[in-house]
Amino acid sequence: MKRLFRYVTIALALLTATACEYDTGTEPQPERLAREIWNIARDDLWRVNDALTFAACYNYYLNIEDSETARQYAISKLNNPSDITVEGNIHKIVYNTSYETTYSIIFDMNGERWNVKRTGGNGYELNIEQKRSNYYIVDIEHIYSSESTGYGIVEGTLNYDENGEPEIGFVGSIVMVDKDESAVSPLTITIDIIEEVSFYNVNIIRTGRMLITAEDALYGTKDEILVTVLRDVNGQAIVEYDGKQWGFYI
Amino acid sequence: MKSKRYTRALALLIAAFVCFAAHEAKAQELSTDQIYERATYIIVQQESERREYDTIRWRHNLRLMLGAPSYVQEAFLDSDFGYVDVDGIYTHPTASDKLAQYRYYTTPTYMVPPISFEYNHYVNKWFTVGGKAIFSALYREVRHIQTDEKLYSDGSYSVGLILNLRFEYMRREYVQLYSAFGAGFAARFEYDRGILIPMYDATYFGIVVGKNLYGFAEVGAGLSGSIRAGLGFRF
Repeated sequence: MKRLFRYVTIALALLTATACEYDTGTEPQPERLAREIWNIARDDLWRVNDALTFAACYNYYLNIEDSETARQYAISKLNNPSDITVEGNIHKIVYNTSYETTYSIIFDMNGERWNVKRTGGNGYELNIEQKRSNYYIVDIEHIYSSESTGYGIVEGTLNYDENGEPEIGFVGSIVMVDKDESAVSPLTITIDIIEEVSFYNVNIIRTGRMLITAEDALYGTKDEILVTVLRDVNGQAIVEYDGKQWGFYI
Repeated sequence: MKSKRYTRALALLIAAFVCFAAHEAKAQELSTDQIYERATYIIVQQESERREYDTIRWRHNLRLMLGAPSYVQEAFLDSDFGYVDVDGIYTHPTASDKLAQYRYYTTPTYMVPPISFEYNHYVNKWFTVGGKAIFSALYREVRHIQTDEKLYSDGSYSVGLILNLRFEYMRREYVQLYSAFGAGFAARFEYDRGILIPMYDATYFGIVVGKNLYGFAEVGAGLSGSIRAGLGFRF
């Protein structure tokens, strides 16, 4: 009986060693990670650019002398506001949405320094200071979206084309934190703009070089990508991560 | 005088011939008897052995078996079969979830195929009742794509207890054919949660080769796997 138990024990040990490969698992996909980090950072850049572009458009609107031209400009570039009221230095632009809600963008203009505040879910507050004729510094007090909240400082140039379309380029640093309330440890995206970022057609990035860091407190990780927008090829960039490079459509 | 001598000699010769013939006949009969007896002995021996086999009444049967995965066993081991979300609602993935999906990769998954240990008791020559314990497991790891550092290991294992009925429908000295059916329960454990469900195990066709110590192979379905083989001991 002892021998039988011995054989059974040895046989059981051998049997458990017969583990077979059930499936092949997944391959590491660093390119997809870099793409996902870029997607999050790009959305944050769009949000900042939207806020700066609106402020630039309102600045142009204030300098239009012809009332009809100003009205047309307000419709096309200021998103057709419901009402614009001016009380001293306070300019209030009101929008009534199709959902029967109201939000407003309030300009507090004090000489060369503007405070621009938007109410509502995707609100923001900017302190814009003009340094030279077309050079500004923008202190982003806060900027909200449905998924994140952020802050930062950027500076750059502002010009207009013949149609009053602002051409903005800026460098600086923007920090966005994932504000998902269920996340005890949030994700922080830091965008360090090394070479001037500029847009055309509102959301198409034309130039720029950015070091983007994604710090995930939940996993204790820090991932960095370097994005270089190709000047001569619209809508494309080289993205570097972990010593590897890929071409992305951005 | 001379004729008497010749007559005596002839009689002796005839007697010798008769004796010789008788002897030969007797020898032939003797050898034929031996062959007959030998053959008879073998036949009787075989009959005796056959009768002995038929009269062998094993009482206990132990079996150790390894099976190839079956559909039911695989589905039970490697799925959310029976699990329900805590809230029962879908939660939108966060930005962190999306990055984690690509920051890590999963290694190949290894399976310990179903291993069964079985005991049966012979109710009669062709019918046994017993129980079977079955074990199988899955294991894989999740690792960082850059540092290859392990984030966590992901595994599950299942244990089943089946009450088994076996029917031998062909019995020869060294070969038996049988079928079986069993029902019981199976439990699966993964992380800190477990599930317990009713489970079955069926043997459509099985063959045993051997006597006290034997090997066997089966085709079936259920928790023991699809194609199985192993060793057994009867006493």
